[in-house]
Amino acid sequence: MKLNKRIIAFCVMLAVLVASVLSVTADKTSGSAVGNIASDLKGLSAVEVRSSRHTQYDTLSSEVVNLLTLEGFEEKFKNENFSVYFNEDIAGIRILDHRNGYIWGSIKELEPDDLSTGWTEMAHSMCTVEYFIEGNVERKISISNRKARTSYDWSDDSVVCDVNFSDLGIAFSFKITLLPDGLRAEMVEDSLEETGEAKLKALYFLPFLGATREDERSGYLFVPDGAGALIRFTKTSSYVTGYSGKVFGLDMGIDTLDQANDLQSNRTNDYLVDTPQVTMPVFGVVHGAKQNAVFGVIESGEEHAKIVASPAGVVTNYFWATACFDFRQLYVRSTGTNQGVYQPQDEPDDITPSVRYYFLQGQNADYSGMAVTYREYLKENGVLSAERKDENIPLKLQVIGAEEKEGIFFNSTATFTTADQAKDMISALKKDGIENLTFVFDGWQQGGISGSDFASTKFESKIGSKGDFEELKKLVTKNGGRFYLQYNPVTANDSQIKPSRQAAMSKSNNIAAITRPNTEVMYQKTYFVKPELLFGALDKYVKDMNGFNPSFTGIGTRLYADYTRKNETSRLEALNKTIKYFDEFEKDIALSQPNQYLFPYVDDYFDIPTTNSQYVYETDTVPFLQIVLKGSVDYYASYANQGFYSTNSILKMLEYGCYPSFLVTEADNFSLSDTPLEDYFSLNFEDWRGTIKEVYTVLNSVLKQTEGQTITEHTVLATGVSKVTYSEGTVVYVNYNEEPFAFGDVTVPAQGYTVERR
Amino acid sequence: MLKKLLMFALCLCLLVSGLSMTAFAGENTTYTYTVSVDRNWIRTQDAYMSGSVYLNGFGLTAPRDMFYFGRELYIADTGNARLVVFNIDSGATRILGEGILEEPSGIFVDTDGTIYVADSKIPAVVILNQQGEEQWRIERPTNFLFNELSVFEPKNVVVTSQGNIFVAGYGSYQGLMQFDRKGEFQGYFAANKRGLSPFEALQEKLLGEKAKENLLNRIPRAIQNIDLADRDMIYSVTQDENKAASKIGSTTKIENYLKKHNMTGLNILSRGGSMTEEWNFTDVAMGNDGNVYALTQSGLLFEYDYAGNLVFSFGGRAVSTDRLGLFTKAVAVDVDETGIIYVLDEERSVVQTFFPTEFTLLTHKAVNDLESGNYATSLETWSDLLKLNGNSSIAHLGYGKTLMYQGDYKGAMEHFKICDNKEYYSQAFWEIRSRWLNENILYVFLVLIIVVVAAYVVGFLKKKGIIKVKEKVAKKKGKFAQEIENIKNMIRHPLDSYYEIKIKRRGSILSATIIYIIAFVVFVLDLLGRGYLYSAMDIRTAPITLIPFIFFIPLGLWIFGNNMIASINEGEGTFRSVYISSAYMFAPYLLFTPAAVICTYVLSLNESFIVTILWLMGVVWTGVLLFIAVMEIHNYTFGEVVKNILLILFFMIMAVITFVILYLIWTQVVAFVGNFISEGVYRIFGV
Repeated sequence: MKLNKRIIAFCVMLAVLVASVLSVTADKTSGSAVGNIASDLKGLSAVEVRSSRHTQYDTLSSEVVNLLTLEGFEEKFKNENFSVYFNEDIAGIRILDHRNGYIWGSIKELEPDDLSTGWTEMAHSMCTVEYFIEGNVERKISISNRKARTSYDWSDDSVVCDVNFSDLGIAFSFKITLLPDGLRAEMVEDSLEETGEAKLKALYFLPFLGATREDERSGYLFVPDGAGALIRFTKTSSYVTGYSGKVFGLDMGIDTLDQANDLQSNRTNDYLVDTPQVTMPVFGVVHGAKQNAVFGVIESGEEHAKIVASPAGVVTNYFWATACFDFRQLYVRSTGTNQGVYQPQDEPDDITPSVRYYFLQGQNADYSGMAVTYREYLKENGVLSAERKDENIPLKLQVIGAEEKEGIFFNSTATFTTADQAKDMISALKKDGIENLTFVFDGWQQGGISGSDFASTKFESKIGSKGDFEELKKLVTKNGGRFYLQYNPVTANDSQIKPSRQAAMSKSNNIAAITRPNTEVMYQKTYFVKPELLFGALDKYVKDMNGFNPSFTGIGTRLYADYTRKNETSRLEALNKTIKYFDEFEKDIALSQPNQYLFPYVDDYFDIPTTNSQYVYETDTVPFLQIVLKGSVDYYASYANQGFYSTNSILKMLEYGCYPSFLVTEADNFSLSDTPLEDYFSLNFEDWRGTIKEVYTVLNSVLKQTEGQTITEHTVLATGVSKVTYSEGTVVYVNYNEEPFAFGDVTVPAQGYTVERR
Repeated sequence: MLKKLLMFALCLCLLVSGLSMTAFAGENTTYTYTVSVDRNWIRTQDAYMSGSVYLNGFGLTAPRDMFYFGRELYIADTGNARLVVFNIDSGATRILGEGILEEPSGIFVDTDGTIYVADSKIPAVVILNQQGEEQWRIERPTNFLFNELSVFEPKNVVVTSQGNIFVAGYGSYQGLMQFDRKGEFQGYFAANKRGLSPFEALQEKLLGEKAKENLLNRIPRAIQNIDLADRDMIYSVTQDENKAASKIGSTTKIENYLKKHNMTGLNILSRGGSMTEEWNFTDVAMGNDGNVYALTQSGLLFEYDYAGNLVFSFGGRAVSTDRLGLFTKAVAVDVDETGIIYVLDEERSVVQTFFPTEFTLLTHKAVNDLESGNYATSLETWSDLLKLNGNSSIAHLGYGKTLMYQGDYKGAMEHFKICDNKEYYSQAFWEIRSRWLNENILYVFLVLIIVVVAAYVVGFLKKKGIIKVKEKVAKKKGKFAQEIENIKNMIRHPLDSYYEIKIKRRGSILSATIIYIIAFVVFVLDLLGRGYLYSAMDIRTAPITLIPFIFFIPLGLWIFGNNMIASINEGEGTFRSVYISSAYMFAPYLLFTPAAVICTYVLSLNESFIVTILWLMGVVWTGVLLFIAVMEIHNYTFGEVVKNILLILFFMIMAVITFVILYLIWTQVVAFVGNFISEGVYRIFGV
């Protein structure tokens, strides 16, 4: 018996052991991303992970209670998930979410003591407009204002409201519809009538939906700034302005491109890194992470919309985020040399604003849930489809062939990499175990990148003939890679076009151009070409470059109207033309930071932002864009050898699922001087070969396991530790800290990662 | 209508494009710059990333200074007449000095925690303990060393390990006020020198002593701010407020704006070398690696190594945005032991932080290794840095120095040349030359002896009449060749030569023209053809197209003016004789300048006087000939020559000014007509 007991005990123990082993069938691989350079960070990564370039740990996860009530509001319509309540005095609505009983609305008090009447009306109303009077004076009025005449037409699931600001002579109708997952607010098509002096400037729907006074509840605003940014609710601080990002980027045709700024120093004024532009027309508000969230998607009029988010401390003590639709903008009417009058456009832009609101709750109610919601929305609309699945992840290698070099008497064409040298690079990388290349050749045109004719399709003979490039392409594709030629149909410099005739004109009658405040560079001005020139260049490429896929500069990123007299192209027309063009485009294309309307056509997405604009009020960067794209489009980080090679950067590529990219030349770094490439401080392939291998090996070991999968969730487990869950159950843990991190049965090495496969 | 007219000045220097073409730029908000090998600003890998923002919304009012001590930031909350002490780790704050201070503008905390506060309104330096209780104070010195008229408005203070107290004051142009540990005034320290603007220099010459006393603005600038450097030395920054007002009327810069003073007050940072610096530095802070950080009001941070070479420049100004890493009015900078930089913004009343990237840690390591003599590791690190930025001046300098200390002078020379550091290039060159001389001294002497002997033999043979060939050749020479040969005579007998030109009509327009062309070639050779150590211009960056103008315009004006003035003042010379005589005056220039240029290839900077003397001989002699030419050709007396030359110079200046005015008027007329038409169109048609 005693023996039996022992045997039983032994068996039980064995069973437990086996069971426990079997229960953890997860296959774990860990690794460290620490490079051999400067491993002694002296605790500085703790500072880095607390910066707004990373997602912060949610310490305030206390339950958010309803601060709003339905008192004074009357139920108007409902479906199984929501009821919509209305209060005619303030022309405001509140939405009750039946799934968890949460009430959405604007602000608590009917007459808060820290808001002026104008702001209070805006906060409560379903709709607010801004208008110009007396030329360029801007005013704001809401539909709850006494001077507004409103009539409501209620039906089972919607309401149409006719608004007439008779004093101003502005009238329009808008409609709010209840949907199974939220609301839609839209302007009734062609309902805008302007009969008076006043000119409609802008329109907001439900601007204060989800607005929060200081930190009265935990949560944050979400804006699509770069990869995605959060503005957490805090006490009032002092800021100059709130967030305002024009959807699809500034319009070179009408927006002011210059801003007053002077370093008052000998050093050049050329110091600011661009803020990333808004490429997706979305915004959101979260009340308690993983509890309640409202997520807005602009469905129409996005090309004239701004995503606006205001932290407590900018005019009001409230955090609010919304979409603002611009019907008119100011421009400078010239009245002489260096003199002019600011005045609004005569005619409003032809837009029909429409915003869809999703009310999210539970696990979905955070930035990650919003991204998943948006991805599903895009998939439903046919914008995104499943990606190509590779065995090993791709590496982007961009090679520069020829570029113009400043000479004593005249400029010459300098060679940086020939087609043959590029072949050697490919075989060198193959030796290092890298075969899946996304190979981009820039500066292949006769004269080099800046020295070629605009949109030239002639090969530079110093680099190689068309035959050489075909061989090169074959070599890349044979190894399973993709070959692109860099082509710029959008911008040009002085030597490439005649700006006065070929560049687009702004509404203010200036040539559309960007000027670098740096007199030491070869070409200070970059001009935006007229749309017909742009599409002509595209046609030319298709005609002449049979067999070569293009990687476009500026397409999908720069969206601008052209106000050339008697030949105007509006922003919307430019957008529609682009979409129509690519609908029929048969080649694969690669684009740098394309706007959402080109997501269906882009095969490789370059230079994906991994941070936000870093405004002081922005507290976190979140991989919203990455969650939307992962599994549908291959996307690549910015060039590692241009400031993105550190341990922190490699970990970020792991966390965000970005593929690595490098910009290289065969020529040494010293030869970059006196060319427009001077900004790139380090391009030599041999110098970087070791790092390329190192970075690729680490990233490939992790990201090849997630190929073809979408990201289902991104969370932060602790400061500096993220967990990314993929659709097939693969989980990637990334630890930025200088100490290892233990989480359940998972230990993530210091400055390293762990991959768990189920 | 007028109300609607919003004037806007398109002053380009104040506008910055809000967009640029580079989509990829790491993760920073501003670009990091360094000095390139051709002395331009170039971008480099991100050196510092912005970290947290502290005290936003806390309620500081126009704070002016900040001091880091023991994980705490001591902030002079100037507008609220108090100190705010902020704990970086816990975020807790405590307030000191309320009721004691009136307008604190500078803080220093001693190693034992004693707080020294400079208060310009009391005015005093108030010494507080950690609890904020006043220990004692330094008030206006009553001691005879301190002038009754001197200003005593303490602005900032540092205390050395010896207990010496140095106080920078508003308007203390005599320098820093130095006090001993008991607060006794010891005298002034490290006064700035003052350069003179061209106008002031003229005043200086013309005005009498009495009048000069009334010129109040002739005083040197007061030191703007100070920090304690290693080994009890003191860093100071000075501003050039004239430069802020206008860039034209500024005085010549005679001293660096950033200085490191030794015990005697002398600046030991980058002596001789010209520093890459700004005129609006507002604060300075010592780093941990012998480096130093200087901050401009516009929010730029400059990092220098121990020798004053620029390492990085980053940061920037925020006018209407709230982005991290930008400042509206930066006033104070300090660094903690991990290398994190804290910057105080007076207008926004917040503290922003920067922390070093791996690239910067590597750079600091390389600088340290080089300084402490670890050449083996330093070579490796510098070569890594060269990979990360192949055009960085400091990386080439560091790499070159390491090579030099390891004895690889050739390699070192190559890198010193790339980064254009003549001082070190000369050192390496000297080493190589002396090594070569040591090895070849025998041959050198041998060659010298052979040359001397050969010359002697030839002379001897000539004397004996054994060699006659030469004279025959000379006789066969044409007139033209002879004219060229006259150059030789010009040097030996200038008076005779000019006489011959004038009376015997020797020389011709053609030969003179050829001399002018040769002179121009020599001029170009002198400008661009010098050996590296003595070259003033780099052939790659030289304004090639301008050089002919620089030479021929003054020359042409001179000849024309000379002839014209002479014809008014009864000179005897014709245009022909003026033209020819002016050509011959280049004779010494043609002789000595090429010799000087040849010397530049074999001499190091130590022997630079030889080159200078040769060159000066050519130029001065030519000047003398010019004088004689005017005198002889026109048959003037000495006084007439002086008068004539002054008149010619006056003519030359007026000619240039007239041209400029005509040019300016032309553009104005064009602009006016354009304005008139577009205004008319607007008024009449309203479009």
